[in-house]
This record gives sequence, C-alpha cells and structure tokens, in this order.
Amino acid sequence: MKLKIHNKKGFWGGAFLLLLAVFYIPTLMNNITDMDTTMRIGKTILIITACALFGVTGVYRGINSKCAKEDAQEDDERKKLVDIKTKSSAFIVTFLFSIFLALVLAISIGITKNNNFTGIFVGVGIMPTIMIIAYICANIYQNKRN
Amino acid sequence: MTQQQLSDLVFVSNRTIISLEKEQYNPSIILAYKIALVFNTTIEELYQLEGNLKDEIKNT
Repeated sequence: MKLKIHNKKGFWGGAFLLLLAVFYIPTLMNNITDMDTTMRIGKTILIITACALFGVTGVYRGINSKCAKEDAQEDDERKKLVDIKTKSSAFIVTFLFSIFLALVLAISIGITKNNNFTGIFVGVGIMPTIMIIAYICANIYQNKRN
Repeated sequence: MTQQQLSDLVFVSNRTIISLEKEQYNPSIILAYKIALVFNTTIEELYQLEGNLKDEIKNT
C-alpha cells in the first residue's frame, strides 16, 4: 500500500518530533545509571513522552486525508492574520524588554562601576541591534516581494 | 444554517465565522465572495456596503 502524505508540514513536523524522541532515549539510558539525577531523568522522560505523543499525532494527521483536510480548514486566512499579529507583538515586547534591560544594566554599571555587568550588557544590548537590522532586511525583502 | 455548516462550505474554521459574526474580523474579498455565493447574494448586499458607507460619511 502506497502511503500518501496529505499535510506535508504536519507530517514532517511530527516526524522531526519522533526523531527527537528517539535521540533523547540514549540520554535517558545514560542518566538511569546515575541515580543522583532523578530530576533529570524525570525531565527527560517528560520530553520523550511529549515528543513521541506530538510526533505520532503529527504523522497520523499528516497521512490521514480527513484530518489533513480539517487541519487545512483550520489554517485559514484569519489564523494567518492572528499569527502575523502575534509575531509582531512578540517582536515589539522582546525589543522593548531588551532595551529596558540594557538600560538597567547601563545604569548598574554606572553606579557600581562593576565590570562584571559589562559582558551581560553587551549580550543584552546586541539583541535590539540585531532585531532592528533583521527588521530592515525583512522590510526590504517583503517590499520587493509584495 | 449552522456556523459549522457555513465554515465547511467556505472552507474556513468555525472560529473565523464566529469572528465575522461578531464583526471582529474583516474577511478577504475571496472569502466575502464565497459567503455571498453560499447565500446567493452579492458582497454589497451581504455587508450592506452602501448603508455602511453612508454611516461612515455621516460620522466624519
């Protein structure tokens, strides 16, 4: 019987998660021998279970024509608009938060004269810069395409 | 006609139909056309474009 993939995105997403679950199994095996890492074992089992469950669901829905049709219907224009708005909001929140954090760190460095903050400041401060550059590049690209 | 039946006919999610009814979401011209076809009417009549335009002019 030939297997037909109806929802490629869902199928490959599910396959990737299943693969991730398989790759996590050796980590679990290594941790089982070390009894001190109970928390880590619990976390690994949780990750494997979640990956396997979502993976199987994704693969099943990808090859089942009825489910794929339902998924395609759910993934409509309103959902795409919501997705765009969500990403935009998340971008703005992250941008403002990183600027705020960079400012707090700059003030901390100014007050305490502690050089330990400088590394964190550079790390945090580079984020809004990358975001602005990424925004400009994406804007040019989308302006050309649309 | 139920929301589910309409959503199946125009191939969008049930949530989209709910948002359209609540006037929270403006559909694309294609979706508006599909809905108009289902109800055997025109987009102008379906969205009362003339009346809405008059209201807009009045409010400005």
